[in-house]
Amino acid sequence: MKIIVNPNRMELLKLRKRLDLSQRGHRLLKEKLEGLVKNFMPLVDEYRRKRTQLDELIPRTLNLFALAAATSSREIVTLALEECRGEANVSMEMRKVMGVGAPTFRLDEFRLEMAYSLIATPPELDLATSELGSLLPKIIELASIEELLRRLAREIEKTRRRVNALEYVMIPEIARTKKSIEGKLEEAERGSRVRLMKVKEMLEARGM
Amino acid sequence: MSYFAIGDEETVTGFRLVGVEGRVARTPADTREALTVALGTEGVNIIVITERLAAEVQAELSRYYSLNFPLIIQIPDRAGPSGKQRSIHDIIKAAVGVTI
Repeated sequence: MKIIVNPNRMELLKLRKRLDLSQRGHRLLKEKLEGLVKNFMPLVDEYRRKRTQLDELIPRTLNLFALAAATSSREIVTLALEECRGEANVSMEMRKVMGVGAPTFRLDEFRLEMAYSLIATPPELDLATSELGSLLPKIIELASIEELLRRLAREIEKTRRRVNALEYVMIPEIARTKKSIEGKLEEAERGSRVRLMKVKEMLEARGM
Repeated sequence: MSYFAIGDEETVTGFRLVGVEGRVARTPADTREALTVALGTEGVNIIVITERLAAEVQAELSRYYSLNFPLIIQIPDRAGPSGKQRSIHDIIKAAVGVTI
């Protein structure tokens, strides 16, 4: 597709400016895209590492709970549930990567009061509780990284679309239009030169 | 209070023992309801949901993911990772163009 404009010098100048701007924008966006991907990859690695770790730890801990429930009566577990108070203090800050901000949470304080009788409950339960408690900061960390990854991915997609739109649509379109205007202007110039030559010839033939 | 757990009975019991509030969900409808409750509870920053339940309510989840708040994280349940957790692979694929 070509942009529809009048083929005159004014438009040609405008188009030249637009082309220049588009090319500069394209270069900048491409650099941004590269930077984003470069920052994205280590985060993906980090995420995968932590995810694998948690994927292994969480089922193991939850199995301990099941074991505890199996070895003791339901009442004991329910009683323990009521006696248990955990308090988590979470702080939030924005983490910025390449201008993409995402909330990052950190577990500042975690207090677990195991007020239930340690004698009445099976040891598996106590172990499971303290293990799961120690997993909480890891879960929060993973969630934060995941959110950052999500946002970075969105930004990468957006930037990639812009780069492609400039590279494959905008810039070729402007370049084509510019070329066609140049062609038309040249044609007009040739036309007027021929006309001048003709006029001169006619004047000379009349002996003026 | 900043975590909220949605999962099967064992998962939620476990999280309750460490002081995390939660809701047991058995059907997709339960899960949806639990999500609404979690979003409505003040001070909830992170929703912990088991992969199995999350897989059933993908559509809602993706809508919640586009909110900035709270963060949602999927964890495996007792049976271990289901390998069904597509969302993060999908976003990596969309961003980089390849699955890794």
